[in-house]
Amino acid sequence: MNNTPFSPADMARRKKRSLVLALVLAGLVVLFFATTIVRIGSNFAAMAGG
Amino acid sequence: MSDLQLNIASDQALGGQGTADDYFALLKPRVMSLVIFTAFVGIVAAPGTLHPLLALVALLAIAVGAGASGALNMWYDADIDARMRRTRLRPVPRGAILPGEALGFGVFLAIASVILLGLFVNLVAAALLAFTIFFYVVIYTMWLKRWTPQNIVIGGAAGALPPMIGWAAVTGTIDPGSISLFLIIFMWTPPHFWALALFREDDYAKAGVPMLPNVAGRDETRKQILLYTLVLLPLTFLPAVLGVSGLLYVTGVALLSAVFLYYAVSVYRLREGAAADRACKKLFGFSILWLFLVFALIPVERLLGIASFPSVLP
Repeated sequence: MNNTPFSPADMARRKKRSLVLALVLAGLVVLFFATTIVRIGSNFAAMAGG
Repeated sequence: MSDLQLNIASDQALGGQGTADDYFALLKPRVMSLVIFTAFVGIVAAPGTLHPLLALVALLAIAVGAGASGALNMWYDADIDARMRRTRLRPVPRGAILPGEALGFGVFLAIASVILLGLFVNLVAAALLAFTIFFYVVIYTMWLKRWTPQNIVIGGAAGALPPMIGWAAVTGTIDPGSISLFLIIFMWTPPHFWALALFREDDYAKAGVPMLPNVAGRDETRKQILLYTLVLLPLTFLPAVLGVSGLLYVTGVALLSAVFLYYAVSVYRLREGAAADRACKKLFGFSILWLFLVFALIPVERLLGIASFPSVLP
Protein backbone atom coordinates (compact mmCIF):
# COMPACT_ATOMS: atom_id res chain seq x y z
CA MET A 1 0.00 0.00 0.00
CA ASN A 2 1.35 3.41 -0.93
CA ASN A 3 0.95 5.78 2.05
CA THR A 4 2.89 8.70 0.62
CA PRO A 5 0.83 11.87 0.14
CA PHE A 6 2.84 12.68 -3.01
CA SER A 7 2.17 11.42 -6.51
CA PRO A 8 5.07 9.86 -8.47
CA ALA A 9 5.26 13.09 -10.51
CA ASP A 10 5.58 15.14 -7.29
CA MET A 11 8.31 12.85 -6.03
CA ALA A 12 10.21 13.02 -9.34
CA ARG A 13 10.02 16.84 -9.25
CA ARG A 14 11.25 16.95 -5.66
CA LYS A 15 14.04 14.50 -6.43
CA LYS A 16 15.24 16.63 -9.35
CA ARG A 17 15.13 19.79 -7.22
CA SER A 18 17.10 18.12 -4.44
CA LEU A 19 19.67 16.86 -6.92
CA VAL A 20 20.15 20.34 -8.41
CA LEU A 21 20.50 21.79 -4.90
CA ALA A 22 23.07 19.13 -3.97
CA LEU A 23 25.10 19.87 -7.11
CA VAL A 24 24.98 23.62 -6.47
CA LEU A 25 26.12 23.11 -2.86
CA ALA A 26 28.93 20.78 -3.92
CA GLY A 27 30.06 23.33 -6.51
CA LEU A 28 30.05 26.08 -3.91
CA VAL A 29 32.12 23.98 -1.49
CA VAL A 30 34.78 23.49 -4.18
CA LEU A 31 34.66 27.18 -5.20
CA PHE A 32 34.91 28.47 -1.63
CA PHE A 33 37.78 26.12 -0.85
CA ALA A 34 39.71 27.19 -3.95
CA THR A 35 38.98 30.87 -3.28
CA THR A 36 40.17 30.55 0.31
CA ILE A 37 43.44 29.01 -0.94
CA VAL A 38 43.88 31.92 -3.38
CA ARG A 39 43.20 34.50 -0.65
CA ILE A 40 45.56 32.79 1.82
CA GLY A 41 48.20 32.50 -0.91
CA SER A 42 48.00 36.21 -1.71
CA ASN A 43 48.20 37.08 2.02
CA PHE A 44 51.37 34.96 2.36
CA ALA A 45 52.84 36.64 -0.72
CA ALA A 46 52.06 40.06 0.77
CA MET A 47 53.70 39.09 4.08
CA ALA A 48 56.78 37.76 2.30
CA GLY A 49 57.00 40.93 0.24
CA GLY A 50 56.53 43.24 3.25
CA MET B 1 -1.65 8.43 8.91
CA SER B 2 1.49 9.06 10.99
CA ASP B 3 2.44 12.49 12.35
CA LEU B 4 5.30 12.64 9.87
CA GLN B 5 2.95 12.01 6.96
CA LEU B 6 0.52 14.60 8.29
CA ASN B 7 3.33 17.13 8.41
CA ILE B 8 4.36 16.29 4.86
CA ALA B 9 0.77 16.58 3.60
CA SER B 10 0.44 19.91 5.37
CA ASP B 11 3.69 21.12 3.82
CA GLN B 12 2.38 20.16 0.40
CA ALA B 13 -0.75 22.24 0.96
CA LEU B 14 1.52 25.13 1.92
CA GLY B 15 3.71 24.83 -1.17
CA GLY B 16 7.03 23.18 -1.87
CA GLN B 17 5.94 22.16 -5.36
CA GLY B 18 8.22 24.46 -7.35
CA THR B 19 10.68 22.72 -9.65
CA ALA B 20 14.34 23.66 -10.07
CA ASP B 21 13.29 25.35 -13.35
CA ASP B 22 10.67 27.42 -11.50
CA TYR B 23 13.26 28.63 -9.00
CA PHE B 24 15.66 29.40 -11.84
CA ALA B 25 12.91 31.44 -13.56
CA LEU B 26 12.46 33.34 -10.29
CA LEU B 27 16.00 34.68 -10.74
CA LYS B 28 15.03 36.44 -14.01
CA PRO B 29 17.83 34.74 -15.98
CA ARG B 30 17.65 37.11 -18.97
CA VAL B 31 18.13 40.18 -16.77
CA MET B 32 20.81 38.27 -14.89
CA SER B 33 22.76 37.58 -18.10
CA LEU B 34 22.88 41.32 -18.88
CA VAL B 35 23.98 42.05 -15.30
CA ILE B 36 26.77 39.45 -15.51
CA PHE B 37 27.94 40.87 -18.83
CA THR B 38 28.02 44.53 -17.72
CA ALA B 39 29.68 43.58 -14.40
CA PHE B 40 32.30 41.63 -16.38
CA VAL B 41 32.98 44.73 -18.49
CA GLY B 42 33.39 46.71 -15.25
CA ILE B 43 35.99 44.18 -14.05
CA VAL B 44 37.85 44.28 -17.38
CA ALA B 45 37.72 48.08 -17.70
CA ALA B 46 38.98 48.78 -14.17
CA PRO B 47 42.65 49.67 -13.73
CA GLY B 48 44.41 46.88 -11.83
CA THR B 49 44.18 43.14 -11.71
CA LEU B 50 42.02 40.59 -9.95
CA HIS B 51 42.83 36.88 -9.65
CA PRO B 52 40.60 35.05 -12.18
CA LEU B 53 39.04 32.93 -9.44
CA LEU B 54 38.18 36.03 -7.41
CA ALA B 55 36.75 37.61 -10.57
CA LEU B 56 34.60 34.49 -10.98
CA VAL B 57 33.42 34.73 -7.37
CA ALA B 58 32.65 38.42 -7.84
CA LEU B 59 30.59 37.68 -10.95
CA LEU B 60 28.80 34.83 -9.16
CA ALA B 61 27.94 37.06 -6.20
CA ILE B 62 26.72 39.86 -8.48
CA ALA B 63 24.64 37.36 -10.50
CA VAL B 64 23.12 35.86 -7.35
CA GLY B 65 22.42 39.34 -5.99
CA ALA B 66 20.64 40.22 -9.25
CA GLY B 67 18.71 36.95 -9.04
CA ALA B 68 17.71 37.74 -5.46
CA SER B 69 16.38 41.12 -6.62
CA GLY B 70 14.37 39.34 -9.33
CA ALA B 71 12.90 36.85 -6.85
CA LEU B 72 11.94 39.62 -4.41
CA ASN B 73 10.44 41.62 -7.28
CA MET B 74 8.33 38.61 -8.30
CA TRP B 75 7.23 38.11 -4.69
CA TYR B 76 6.06 41.71 -4.30
CA ASP B 77 4.65 42.16 -7.81
CA ALA B 78 2.74 38.86 -8.05
CA ASP B 79 -0.57 40.75 -8.29
CA ILE B 80 0.69 42.93 -11.17
CA ASP B 81 2.36 39.99 -12.91
CA ALA B 82 -0.90 38.00 -12.85
CA ARG B 83 -2.66 40.75 -14.83
CA MET B 84 -0.02 41.22 -17.54
CA ARG B 85 0.22 39.02 -20.62
CA ARG B 86 4.02 39.18 -20.60
CA THR B 87 4.37 38.06 -16.96
CA ARG B 88 1.29 36.01 -16.06
CA LEU B 89 3.14 32.69 -16.48
CA ARG B 90 5.87 33.58 -13.99
CA PRO B 91 6.18 30.98 -11.18
CA VAL B 92 4.36 32.97 -8.46
CA PRO B 93 1.23 34.06 -10.41
CA ARG B 94 1.09 30.55 -11.92
CA GLY B 95 1.00 29.08 -8.40
CA ALA B 96 4.12 26.95 -8.86
CA ILE B 97 5.91 28.86 -6.08
CA LEU B 98 4.11 30.49 -3.15
CA PRO B 99 4.82 34.19 -2.45
CA GLY B 100 6.34 33.26 0.91
CA GLU B 101 8.70 30.80 -0.76
CA ALA B 102 9.81 33.46 -3.26
CA LEU B 103 10.36 35.90 -0.37
CA GLY B 104 12.45 33.43 1.64
CA PHE B 105 14.46 32.40 -1.42
CA GLY B 106 15.12 36.04 -2.37
CA VAL B 107 16.10 37.20 1.12
CA PHE B 108 18.44 34.23 1.59
CA LEU B 109 20.16 34.80 -1.76
CA ALA B 110 20.43 38.56 -1.18
CA ILE B 111 22.16 38.12 2.18
CA ALA B 112 24.36 35.27 0.91
CA SER B 113 25.51 37.22 -2.19
CA VAL B 114 26.51 40.32 -0.18
CA ILE B 115 28.38 38.23 2.44
CA LEU B 116 30.12 36.26 -0.33
CA LEU B 117 31.31 39.43 -2.08
CA GLY B 118 32.35 41.07 1.19
CA LEU B 119 34.31 38.07 2.48
CA PHE B 120 36.08 37.04 -0.70
CA VAL B 121 36.43 40.26 -2.70
CA ASN B 122 36.05 43.56 -0.84
CA LEU B 123 33.64 45.58 1.27
CA VAL B 124 33.11 48.45 -1.22
CA ALA B 125 31.86 46.02 -3.87
CA ALA B 126 29.69 44.27 -1.26
CA ALA B 127 28.23 47.58 -0.08
CA LEU B 128 27.42 48.54 -3.67
CA LEU B 129 25.73 45.18 -4.25
CA ALA B 130 23.67 45.57 -1.06
CA PHE B 131 22.66 49.08 -2.16
CA THR B 132 21.70 47.79 -5.62
CA ILE B 133 19.44 45.07 -4.18
CA PHE B 134 17.87 47.55 -1.74
CA PHE B 135 17.34 50.13 -4.48
CA TYR B 136 15.72 47.65 -6.89
CA VAL B 137 13.47 45.97 -4.33
CA VAL B 138 12.50 48.80 -1.99
CA ILE B 139 12.92 52.01 -3.99
CA TYR B 140 11.87 50.72 -7.44
CA THR B 141 9.59 47.72 -6.85
CA MET B 142 7.82 48.74 -3.66
CA TRP B 143 7.72 52.48 -4.11
CA LEU B 144 8.33 54.00 -7.55
CA LYS B 145 6.82 51.35 -9.84
CA ARG B 146 3.22 51.80 -8.66
CA TRP B 147 3.49 55.50 -7.89
CA THR B 148 5.09 57.51 -10.67
CA PRO B 149 5.61 57.31 -14.45
CA GLN B 150 9.21 58.26 -13.72
CA ASN B 151 9.58 54.77 -12.16
CA ILE B 152 12.03 53.44 -14.70
CA VAL B 153 14.01 56.70 -14.91
CA ILE B 154 14.98 56.59 -11.22
CA GLY B 155 14.68 52.81 -10.86
CA GLY B 156 17.09 52.42 -13.79
CA ALA B 157 19.90 53.20 -11.35
CA ALA B 158 19.65 49.65 -9.98
CA GLY B 159 20.25 48.14 -13.42
CA ALA B 160 23.12 50.56 -14.05
CA LEU B 161 25.14 49.68 -10.95
CA PRO B 162 26.59 46.23 -11.89
CA PRO B 163 29.56 47.63 -13.90
CA MET B 164 30.39 49.83 -10.90
CA ILE B 165 30.30 46.76 -8.64
CA GLY B 166 32.57 44.87 -11.06
CA TRP B 167 34.96 47.85 -11.19
CA ALA B 168 34.95 48.16 -7.38
CA ALA B 169 35.70 44.42 -7.10
CA VAL B 170 39.06 45.19 -8.75
CA THR B 171 39.93 48.61 -7.30
CA GLY B 172 37.92 48.76 -4.08
CA THR B 173 36.88 52.29 -5.08
CA ILE B 174 34.25 54.30 -6.94
CA ASP B 175 35.95 56.18 -9.77
CA PRO B 176 34.88 58.56 -12.58
CA GLY B 177 35.51 55.72 -15.07
CA SER B 178 33.04 53.41 -13.35
CA ILE B 179 30.52 56.24 -13.00
CA SER B 180 30.74 56.80 -16.78
CA LEU B 181 29.69 53.16 -17.35
CA PHE B 182 26.86 53.64 -14.84
CA LEU B 183 25.64 56.75 -16.66
CA ILE B 184 25.43 54.97 -20.01
CA ILE B 185 23.06 52.28 -18.69
CA PHE B 186 21.18 54.80 -16.56
CA MET B 187 20.38 57.03 -19.54
CA TRP B 188 19.77 54.04 -21.84
CA THR B 189 17.03 52.59 -19.61
CA PRO B 190 14.23 55.16 -20.26
CA PRO B 191 14.27 55.03 -24.10
CA HIS B 192 14.59 51.24 -23.94
CA PHE B 193 11.63 50.68 -21.57
CA TRP B 194 9.43 53.43 -23.00
CA ALA B 195 9.79 51.87 -26.46
CA LEU B 196 8.50 48.63 -24.89
CA ALA B 197 5.76 50.51 -23.02
CA LEU B 198 4.53 52.09 -26.28
CA PHE B 199 3.66 48.73 -27.81
CA ARG B 200 2.62 47.12 -24.49
CA GLU B 201 0.64 50.11 -23.21
CA ASP B 202 -2.59 48.12 -22.70
CA ASP B 203 -0.78 45.53 -20.60
CA TYR B 204 0.62 48.15 -18.23
CA ALA B 205 -2.72 49.99 -18.07
CA LYS B 206 -4.55 46.75 -17.21
CA ALA B 207 -2.08 46.10 -14.38
CA GLY B 208 -2.39 49.67 -13.10
CA VAL B 209 1.31 50.44 -13.55
CA PRO B 210 1.77 54.15 -14.32
CA MET B 211 4.04 53.99 -17.35
CA LEU B 212 4.64 57.19 -19.30
CA PRO B 213 2.39 56.33 -22.34
CA ASN B 214 -0.70 55.72 -20.20
CA VAL B 215 -0.08 58.75 -17.97
CA ALA B 216 1.42 61.46 -20.16
CA GLY B 217 0.30 60.10 -23.54
CA ARG B 218 2.01 58.46 -26.48
CA ASP B 219 3.23 61.70 -28.12
CA GLU B 220 4.88 62.90 -24.91
CA THR B 221 6.54 59.47 -24.54
CA ARG B 222 7.92 59.72 -28.09
CA LYS B 223 9.34 63.17 -27.30
CA GLN B 224 10.91 61.91 -24.07
CA ILE B 225 12.47 58.94 -25.87
CA LEU B 226 14.11 61.30 -28.35
CA LEU B 227 15.27 63.71 -25.63
CA TYR B 228 16.79 60.95 -23.51
CA THR B 229 18.47 59.52 -26.61
CA LEU B 230 20.01 62.93 -27.34
CA VAL B 231 21.45 63.01 -23.82
CA LEU B 232 22.52 59.35 -23.89
CA LEU B 233 24.53 59.40 -27.10
CA PRO B 234 27.13 62.05 -26.11
CA LEU B 235 27.44 60.40 -22.67
CA THR B 236 28.47 57.17 -24.40
CA PHE B 237 31.78 58.83 -25.32
CA LEU B 238 32.58 59.60 -21.68
CA PRO B 239 34.60 56.38 -21.08
CA ALA B 240 36.93 57.45 -23.92
CA VAL B 241 37.30 60.95 -22.45
CA LEU B 242 38.17 59.40 -19.07
CA GLY B 243 40.77 57.05 -20.54
CA VAL B 244 38.75 53.85 -20.06
CA SER B 245 38.49 53.15 -23.79
CA GLY B 246 40.19 53.98 -27.07
CA LEU B 247 39.73 54.66 -30.77
CA LEU B 248 37.98 51.39 -31.64
CA TYR B 249 35.37 52.13 -28.96
CA VAL B 250 34.86 55.69 -30.24
CA THR B 251 34.47 54.53 -33.84
CA GLY B 252 32.10 51.70 -32.93
CA VAL B 253 30.02 53.86 -30.62
CA ALA B 254 29.73 56.59 -33.27
CA LEU B 255 28.35 54.11 -35.82
CA LEU B 256 26.03 52.36 -33.35
CA SER B 257 24.75 55.66 -31.98
CA ALA B 258 23.88 56.91 -35.46
CA VAL B 259 21.63 53.85 -35.89
CA PHE B 260 20.15 54.33 -32.39
CA LEU B 261 19.34 57.96 -33.24
CA TYR B 262 17.76 56.90 -36.54
CA TYR B 263 15.39 54.50 -34.72
CA ALA B 264 14.59 57.07 -32.01
CA VAL B 265 13.73 59.67 -34.69
CA SER B 266 11.57 57.05 -36.45
CA VAL B 267 9.64 56.48 -33.22
CA TYR B 268 9.18 60.24 -32.89
CA ARG B 269 8.01 60.73 -36.47
CA LEU B 270 5.84 57.66 -37.06
CA ARG B 271 2.78 58.05 -34.84
CA GLU B 272 -0.05 56.06 -36.43
CA GLY B 273 -0.78 52.48 -37.40
CA ALA B 274 1.39 49.43 -37.83
CA ALA B 275 4.42 51.48 -38.94
CA ALA B 276 4.46 53.29 -35.57
CA ASP B 277 4.29 49.98 -33.70
CA ARG B 278 7.07 48.55 -35.86
CA ALA B 279 9.27 51.57 -35.16
CA CYS B 280 8.85 51.07 -31.40
CA LYS B 281 9.65 47.36 -31.64
CA LYS B 282 12.73 48.10 -33.76
CA LEU B 283 14.01 50.67 -31.27
CA PHE B 284 13.36 48.29 -28.37
CA GLY B 285 15.16 45.40 -30.09
CA PHE B 286 18.07 47.53 -31.31
CA SER B 287 18.55 49.19 -27.93
CA ILE B 288 19.40 45.78 -26.42
CA LEU B 289 21.90 45.07 -29.19
CA TRP B 290 23.30 48.62 -28.88
CA LEU B 291 24.02 48.27 -25.16
CA PHE B 292 25.59 44.86 -25.66
CA LEU B 293 27.86 46.06 -28.48
CA VAL B 294 28.85 49.32 -26.78
CA PHE B 295 29.92 47.44 -23.66
CA ALA B 296 31.50 44.61 -25.68
CA LEU B 297 33.84 47.11 -27.39
CA ILE B 298 35.72 47.68 -24.11
CA PRO B 299 36.83 44.04 -23.51
CA VAL B 300 37.48 43.67 -27.25
CA GLU B 301 39.93 46.59 -27.05
CA ARG B 302 41.62 44.97 -24.04
CA LEU B 303 41.77 41.64 -25.85
CA LEU B 304 43.36 43.22 -28.94
CA GLY B 305 45.73 45.23 -26.75
CA ILE B 306 44.51 48.51 -28.19
CA ALA B 307 45.53 51.47 -26.04
CA SER B 308 42.99 53.72 -24.39
CA PHE B 309 43.04 57.49 -24.77
CA PRO B 310 44.88 59.34 -22.00
CA SER B 311 42.43 60.46 -19.31
CA VAL B 312 41.49 64.13 -19.13
CA LEU B 313 41.59 63.76 -15.34
CA PRO B 314 44.88 64.16 -13.48
